[in-house]
Amino acid sequence: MNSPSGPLAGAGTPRRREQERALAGRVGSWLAWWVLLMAIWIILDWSLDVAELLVGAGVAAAGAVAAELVGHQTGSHFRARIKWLIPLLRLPGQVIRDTVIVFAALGRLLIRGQQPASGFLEVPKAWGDESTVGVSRRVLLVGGTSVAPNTFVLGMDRERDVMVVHHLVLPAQRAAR
Amino acid sequence: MTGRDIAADVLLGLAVAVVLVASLGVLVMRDVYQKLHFVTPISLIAPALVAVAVLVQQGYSENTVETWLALLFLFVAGPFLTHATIRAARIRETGDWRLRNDDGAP
Repeated sequence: MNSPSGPLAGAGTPRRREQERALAGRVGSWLAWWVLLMAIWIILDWSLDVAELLVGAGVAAAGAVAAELVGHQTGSHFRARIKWLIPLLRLPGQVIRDTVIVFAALGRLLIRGQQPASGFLEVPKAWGDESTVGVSRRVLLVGGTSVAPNTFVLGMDRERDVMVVHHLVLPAQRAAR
Repeated sequence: MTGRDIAADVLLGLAVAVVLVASLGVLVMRDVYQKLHFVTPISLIAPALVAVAVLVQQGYSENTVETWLALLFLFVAGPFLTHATIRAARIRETGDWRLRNDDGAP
């Protein structure tokens, strides 16, 4: 008989569901989802009619329950620090600068046939811990770094504390490929 | 034609130009990694220009708020979509997204 491949049912470690998470935390998370979804409903419906608002409240409540259930099942929750939002202020300028860089690279390719010096880089970046805050920080790092068009993140290496990125135009002093 | 109309038309023209140039980039770049860098101007910068055009044209209105909400979704989802795509391409090519010695990582 062939030996089975892959994990066996019941042989692995059960997924951690943060069962110790306080009820208050869950209610707070549900409430945050409800407020967000209700705000989106009001924006999309563009009406303050009571009947419309009641329907929106119901739909937002159902959506918030679904979102909280998914978060509970996967053991993932989002928690950010206010100071992490500060780099967001630099993003518009960075996006414009990177757009100029990639379009200039395209111009050099079309006019002079010069291929852009693109490649991968390892950027030192601490992995952090496995707490909700630590996971949220990594998510924001990956997303925030990938907004501007000259840089995309492939991932963060836990063992080496680096973030692997790809540049269309590498910083001159660190050309790697 | 008012000043608002002209400004909105200029912004929309810029958005179209950005999409055309970025499409050219997708067409002529060497590999998938390079091509992906030209997706962001199409998925983020052109929509941002359109959103500003709507704001200039209509001021604070239902259309404007809904356009900016759509832009917010694009802004949040776009980078992660790009990250997932480039990571998948790398894994398909080399079996792992991490750098190898011959990648010349510093």
